[in-house]
Amino acid sequence: MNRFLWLVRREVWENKAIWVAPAIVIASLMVLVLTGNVHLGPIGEARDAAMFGDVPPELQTRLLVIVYAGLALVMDMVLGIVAFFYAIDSLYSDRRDRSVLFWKSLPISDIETVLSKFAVAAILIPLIALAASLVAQLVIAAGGSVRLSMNGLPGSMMWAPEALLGGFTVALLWCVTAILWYAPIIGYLMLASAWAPRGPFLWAVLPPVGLWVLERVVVGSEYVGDFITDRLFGMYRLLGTRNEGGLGELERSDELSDIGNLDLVGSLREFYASPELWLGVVAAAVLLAAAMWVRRYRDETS
Amino acid sequence: MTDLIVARGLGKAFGPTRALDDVNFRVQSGRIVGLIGPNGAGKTTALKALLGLTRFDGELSVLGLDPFRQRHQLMQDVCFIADVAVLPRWIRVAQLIEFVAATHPRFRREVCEHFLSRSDIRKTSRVKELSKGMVTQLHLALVMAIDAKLLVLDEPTLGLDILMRKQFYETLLNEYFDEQRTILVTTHQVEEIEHILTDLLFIDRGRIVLDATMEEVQEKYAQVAIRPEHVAAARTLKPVAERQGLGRTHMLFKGAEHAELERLGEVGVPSVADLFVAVIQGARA
Repeated sequence: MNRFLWLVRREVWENKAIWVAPAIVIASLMVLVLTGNVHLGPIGEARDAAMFGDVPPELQTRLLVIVYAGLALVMDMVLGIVAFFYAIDSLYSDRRDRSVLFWKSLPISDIETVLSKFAVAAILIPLIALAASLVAQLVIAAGGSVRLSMNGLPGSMMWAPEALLGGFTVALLWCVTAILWYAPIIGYLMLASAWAPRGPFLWAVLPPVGLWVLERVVVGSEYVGDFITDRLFGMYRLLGTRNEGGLGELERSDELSDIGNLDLVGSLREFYASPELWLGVVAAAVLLAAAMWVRRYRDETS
Repeated sequence: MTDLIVARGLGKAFGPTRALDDVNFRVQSGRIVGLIGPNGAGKTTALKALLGLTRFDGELSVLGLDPFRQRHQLMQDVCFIADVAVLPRWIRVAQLIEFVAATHPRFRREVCEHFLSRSDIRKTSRVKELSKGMVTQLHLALVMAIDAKLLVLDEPTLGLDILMRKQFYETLLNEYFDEQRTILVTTHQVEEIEHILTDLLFIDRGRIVLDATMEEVQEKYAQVAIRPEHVAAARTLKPVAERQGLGRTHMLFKGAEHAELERLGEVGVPSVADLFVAVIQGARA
């Protein structure tokens, strides 16, 4: 196996939350489905199911897309939190327990180390989110079809290819876009992690939040706040607010009839053409280089 | 024999204090060098400089490389135990071996397994479940399985009981060391390593105060248990140290004629500990 993959493997050994957290979400979903406590759209009480059965088939599919996409978004949020804390701890935990002295006795460069940890946070975790979303969707589809057939409706509705494909597409879209969009956040957190003398969480969170509050109190404006929230959630905005029928429609629409066919290609084109995305990628590269530099040259033990 | 380490005018300052001050020494291959000094003398700083873990002034070459700039390359041939119990606590023994085997080109897995088979360490255990002695055994097993040219040990046995410490150095000497290898070791327990050392480097207040092979030490220095009637005569020969013990006065001489010393009492080889105390006191006087 390639060296780099071994470094990634070490991270997965150490940070079990990477796979335990999605496993817990899926297990909880299974329990909810088995005990009949799920109220995701059609899958719930007999009343919900009956209502669902009355909806025209085209709308049923769209409804299910929302359910499946919602599952993907829950999974993405959970793994987003996992990635956040992983990145904050990534270049600090081995300094805290001094095992950095062992890792540094191996012929592994600090560039490789930092890159492997970045790959885990920015690439591996989104991929796991994608896989976990798929499994979650299948769990709900299976549970939902049982529930529907208990109410005398065809369970196959849950397996409508358009619905499953819609949910899967949302999950895939999040995965491929998150990798680039969140890279600068991961880079920033890793730099804080490499640099913090102790308490990397505070070192990572206080400067941006402090600036935000300071600007609000002193100047009264919210540029910092806007900048931060946009970096956190702007991905969804880029994925289709300006684009009629883009993915953004999913979030905005209150009425089922608003949900048109998603214009995925348009969404992605808009996303990959935006300068914000590529500025973020450049920032990520700079922040990562800084993290490598700090990791390499800071004096560990004096 | 080639120079493995060359330090010329090596310096390191932390603010106004000079942890290393114009340090010069050479270490040749195939030696076991004890770097010995009181607390805060600069031992660890010197080792960190050698291992590329800290910046330094002056010139330093390890295996012909600049340890700070060429650290990554250096770690192919240099191995170190920087402190006891720095193995990651969360890892399992089997995972650790697997990882080192996969990332270190000079790691010989079967050698490591051989050393571990003689200990009580189970491969399924996590490092945090092992006793301190076991963690050290495990670290030593890993390090000895790496075919390195230079092994650096900084207080490798701190906090271990005497049986463990003895076993540690015996294994190192009998099963690891050979002419191709060089070991640089620092420790407080000088008595336990003096019989394995080939060279001594004493460091005090950031300066090298003694740099000699064991043969040179034995030639140059002599410990004499002076008979009571010769004490006054002995003092005229200017001993570098003097202490009382069991009805005899023990004096340490540097560069004195053996024949002359024989008349004053029983001549012996000074222990490294005695030599250390005498040299440090002499340097500070």
